[in-house]
Amino acid sequence: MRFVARRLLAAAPLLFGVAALTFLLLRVLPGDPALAMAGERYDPATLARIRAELGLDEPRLAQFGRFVARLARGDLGVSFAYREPVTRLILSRFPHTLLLASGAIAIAVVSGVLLGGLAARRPGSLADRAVSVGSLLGVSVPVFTTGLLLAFLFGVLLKLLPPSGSSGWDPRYLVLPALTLSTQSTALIARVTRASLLEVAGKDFVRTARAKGLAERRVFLRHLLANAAIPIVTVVGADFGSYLGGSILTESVFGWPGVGRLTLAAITRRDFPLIQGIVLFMAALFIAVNLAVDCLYAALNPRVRAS
Amino acid sequence: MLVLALPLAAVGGCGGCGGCGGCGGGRGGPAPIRIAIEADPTSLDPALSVDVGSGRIIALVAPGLVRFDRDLRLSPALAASWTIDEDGRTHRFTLRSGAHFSDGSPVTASLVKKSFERVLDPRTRSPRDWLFLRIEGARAFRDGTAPDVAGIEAPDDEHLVIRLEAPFAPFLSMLAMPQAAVLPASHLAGPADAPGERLEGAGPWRVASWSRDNRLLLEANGAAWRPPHADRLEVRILPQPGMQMTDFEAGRLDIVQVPQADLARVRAAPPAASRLVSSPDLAVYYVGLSNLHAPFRDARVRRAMNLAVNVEALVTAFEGAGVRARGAIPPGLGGHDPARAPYPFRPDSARALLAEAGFPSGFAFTILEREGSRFGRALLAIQSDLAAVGVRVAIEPREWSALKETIDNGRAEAFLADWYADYPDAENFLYPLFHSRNIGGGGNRAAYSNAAVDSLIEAAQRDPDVARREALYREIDARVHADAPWIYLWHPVNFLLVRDDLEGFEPHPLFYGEDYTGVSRRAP
Repeated sequence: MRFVARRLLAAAPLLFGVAALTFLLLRVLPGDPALAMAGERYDPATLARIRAELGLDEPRLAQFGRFVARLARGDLGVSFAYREPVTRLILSRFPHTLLLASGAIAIAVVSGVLLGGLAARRPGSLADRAVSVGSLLGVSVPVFTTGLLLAFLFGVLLKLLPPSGSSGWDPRYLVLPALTLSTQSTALIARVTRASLLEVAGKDFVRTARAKGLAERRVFLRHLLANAAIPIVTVVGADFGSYLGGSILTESVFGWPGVGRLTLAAITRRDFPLIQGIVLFMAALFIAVNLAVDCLYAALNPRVRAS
Repeated sequence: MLVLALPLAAVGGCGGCGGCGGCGGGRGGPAPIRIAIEADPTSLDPALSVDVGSGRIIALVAPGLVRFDRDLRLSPALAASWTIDEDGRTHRFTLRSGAHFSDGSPVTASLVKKSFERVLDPRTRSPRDWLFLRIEGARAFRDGTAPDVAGIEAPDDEHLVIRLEAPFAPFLSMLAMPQAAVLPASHLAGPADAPGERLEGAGPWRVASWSRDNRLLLEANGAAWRPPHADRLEVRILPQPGMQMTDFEAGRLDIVQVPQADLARVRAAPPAASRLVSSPDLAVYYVGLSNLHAPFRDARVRRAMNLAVNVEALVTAFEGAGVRARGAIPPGLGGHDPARAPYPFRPDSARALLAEAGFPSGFAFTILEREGSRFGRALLAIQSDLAAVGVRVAIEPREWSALKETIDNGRAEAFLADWYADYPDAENFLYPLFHSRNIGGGGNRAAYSNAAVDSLIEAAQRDPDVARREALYREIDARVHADAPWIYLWHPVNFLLVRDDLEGFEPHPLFYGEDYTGVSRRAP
């Protein structure tokens, strides 16, 4: 508990740093929110009025002060473009992203560990080589291409699944985006699982377990996988954390209404409060997932717990 | 966990997609008409609408006093008729009797006045207040020195009088824009500081549900003066044109715009049970040559740029998705001159003009383009053509907001740009794009300035006679074309795939013009 509390305390200055950096970067980078709001045709007076209404005519230090004061109250502000509270906008999209991220990571863990395990069983075999080539493809083919190919195959040719959109809990809509999003993670998890299992397989305690006559399934689960799990959990945690922040490409390709598309819209419109809110939200989620991963390390490995 | 549990309920609740009815006709009755747009409307508040997605939906739900038919003739909407006094300033409208909003309340002249005043109200913070600023007293109201707009009068429920400060011929056309929507009293109670998720109007459709970034489901407004044939209209929000096409081919959309990349394939073999229709856009694409920067201050250099680029070859490569521009005014608008000769492709003449202007060895400049622009590839051909006459071009893609900032602040030497009509009057091209008052954000991003052209534009704006005005438009367009502030490229043509069982659909040249009232699905 003390470990968790310490980590949570350390997260506060980290989040403040993220918020400050985002605030600064947005004001330094090119692009003007007032111009984005004004549309294609405007007069200088309208632009000045919009700028004043958004508080962009104030000195940056004053803007930052106001931002920090609001943040201290847990208020992420109001979106420039949508004129809605940022928190409400993020929370309205987050359930979709959570669903997609969970689906993708579930597919990636199951298929990645299975494929990695299969490859590690007989290094150099046909299965091992197939997994290696497959995972190389999975890592290198862009999500955009995978998505369109899967949508065409399952949506148009086979007519098995809807190619795009979202419809509540209907799992048919989740399959293709989750599968697409999972491809790179699956490939990475398969590679890490294979390498990790092969490393552990050579250890004395595995040989001892086999010499004791333990069933191969038990050796794999209790001794091999349990000890090889830490690098896998690290990869899963990192990927899940990033998925929770929204997957801009996958969500855009499949028309999935998650945080990723909201992020893209916010960036295009230079919606400063919304971008700041999303970055902060993503950072908080990432910290939370990392904390969960650290706790999982301790659960998996008594040596980590002791340290 | 509570924080997560609440939003998760939003997914389970179908995000408001009408009980998943929009997902394929879960409700009883015929399946809805299914279309797609690329971006979620930012707001359904007409006063705040600046994007195409918002404009299209608002026009379906909340029309204004007038509308444009497919031939771009001004037609009655909530106004049954109108007259313009001899002075050219006073517009008298008689409202359609018996028109009601979808909430059941009647459409009255005082609500029209309040709807227009709401756009001007500084508390609304509308970026489109310029739409009504020519009305007498509009500026005083906007600046807070008058309680209402003196130039809008509602003597009774059925009659409305609008007086302009000065004659302005395109004013009626501007009243067809989505920002001039007429709203019921329930929407006019306060300023537009509430999220624009709610919209009621007197249009053919009412919003049944809106799942943000996913789909809008519209239901027929039975009380409308122009009720639609279909019961429901499903608007999917799909950002990728390629995925829209995939959805059409999977049978999940009824109308789709064919992406340029798919055009050749679709032309050769259209998907089963569908037809391909073309629809010219009221728009122009061009490379703006900023008159603020040295080589382009000289008209000879600008003309040389036009002579050096083989636009005809570019247009041919688009397989019909563009018509060569002979000026800024697109075909279909009064003032377009089909007889005007476009700049011919004459590299030798271009070289001679450049030498005459003091650039015998050419010069170098940068063309900015929007990242991911669907016609960005054309710049490579332009770059190659200009290199042949010694002009070295660097192409620099920029993200949209950054691009706009650079151009509007006059820092761009040249840029690939487009202009789509807000309303179908050539004035909407000539005034913003070439009047010196609009240099920068007003639309004249090439910073073209010509006092004679300015006064001709102002004369056209004042002239109520259509034939005289169109003759003026032709003259202005010809003068500007000769001055060549742009490399004139093309007017885009859209290609749409329409499912065969859909009857009554003809594309509308204006993005907010199609109301789908005549569209229905043929019984199998």
